Amino acid sequence: MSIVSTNRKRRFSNKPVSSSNPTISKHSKSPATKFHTRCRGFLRFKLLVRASILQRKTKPRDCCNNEEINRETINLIGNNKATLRLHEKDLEAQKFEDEEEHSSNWGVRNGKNGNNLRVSLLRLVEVSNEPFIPLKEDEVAEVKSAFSPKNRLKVLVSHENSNIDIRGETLQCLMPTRWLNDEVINLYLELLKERETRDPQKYFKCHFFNTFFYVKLVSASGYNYEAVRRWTTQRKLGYELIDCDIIFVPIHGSLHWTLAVINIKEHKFMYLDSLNGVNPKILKALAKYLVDEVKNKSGKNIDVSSWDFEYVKDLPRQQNGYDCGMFMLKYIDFYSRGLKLQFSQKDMPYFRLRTAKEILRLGAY
Amino acid sequence: MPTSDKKPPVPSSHITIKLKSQDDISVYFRIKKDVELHKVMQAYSDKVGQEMSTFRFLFDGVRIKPNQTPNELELEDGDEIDAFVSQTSGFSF
Repeated sequence: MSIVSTNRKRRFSNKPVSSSNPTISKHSKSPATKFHTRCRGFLRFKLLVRASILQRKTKPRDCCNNEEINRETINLIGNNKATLRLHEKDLEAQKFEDEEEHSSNWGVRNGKNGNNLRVSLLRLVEVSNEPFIPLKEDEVAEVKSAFSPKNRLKVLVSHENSNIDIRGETLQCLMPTRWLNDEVINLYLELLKERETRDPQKYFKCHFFNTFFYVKLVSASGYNYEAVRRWTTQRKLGYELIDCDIIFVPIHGSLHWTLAVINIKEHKFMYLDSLNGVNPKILKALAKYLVDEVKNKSGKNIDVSSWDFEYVKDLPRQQNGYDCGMFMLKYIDFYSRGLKLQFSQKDMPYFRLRTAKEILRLGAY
Repeated sequence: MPTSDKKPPVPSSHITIKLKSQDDISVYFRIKKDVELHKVMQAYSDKVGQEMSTFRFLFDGVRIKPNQTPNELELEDGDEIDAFVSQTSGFSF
């Protein structure tokens, strides 16, 4: 919120005319003084008009225009600078609501206890090149060396909290054309959670289930809440699932990675498949899970019958036979940042290298 | 006045844990609480005839390392460990 108040101050201080010279408001009987007063009045008016034009010019791009921003533009904005702009729109709460309906926008952030607050005061806008910062030479060299066959059995990194060890052979799944495995995916998701914890103002409050959650929730014998009841205790997570803005559920098909999302903020269940598949069974199970989970943890009954099932169609698509895991991870990464899915197949080699680097350094950015 | 010779039950040094496969097939093991779980993991893998590296062992959703013991994980009698099969996918046309 401090950012908002700073912006507000800045906006007001832009006005070239302040509370103004007290002589302006004084009445004077002398015609000469009257003339001067009028001149000053006109000057003041002119300055105000100019100020408003300037303000309009310097006003940050509106959210609706963001669709026009392509990646090239974003890269031009500043190659090594993180350009994150915050828009102050607290005076236009109603407009927010319209926009929210208009675009399935992810940029609405809530206050501390604002889960029921559909309209917030601060909107995070996606003018950021952070997801595309080029790797430095030494980083590329580090990744390439880690991919080397001699590291096949060597434990390259150990992540303490998740107990995941990454060996050379595991990391190699991030080499071009390879299929992603559960360990790389689950470790990356841990790193995304740590990223959010480091900088909670910048990211949505997310929960990232690991790739085994859905396998356990819906096993051979069908849906079974009891099997995953203990996965999400307050003691384990440090928060309640229902307090999150968004919950990510990676789905492992026999040959394919897809993503299911419980979008608590926007009251919908979403399914993202880089090959545009549809799977109502998964979303139905997750809807049931959310009800059972809230009932079990807080004793409340929630009704999700009015929540939408959305099979996201307008999304970056996979155009080969091996990148679905990388697409899934980037859907998660972009959504957790509050960004639209502005990437494509051609970014995948870069994302693979970047993910490998972030895993090797045990830190996602 | 309660009799002073009545001692509280000594906690058993052994527990029985269940290793459950993705197909809901359970295998039971009785182990000491201070023994590394590597032993159980290896025994399970041998029993189902697969390499241990093909499994991911999780307790309540959290990965278990082979050198951890039931004591460290605060496992109790009857607790269940999941033996998931490693996952890899890319999609073949």
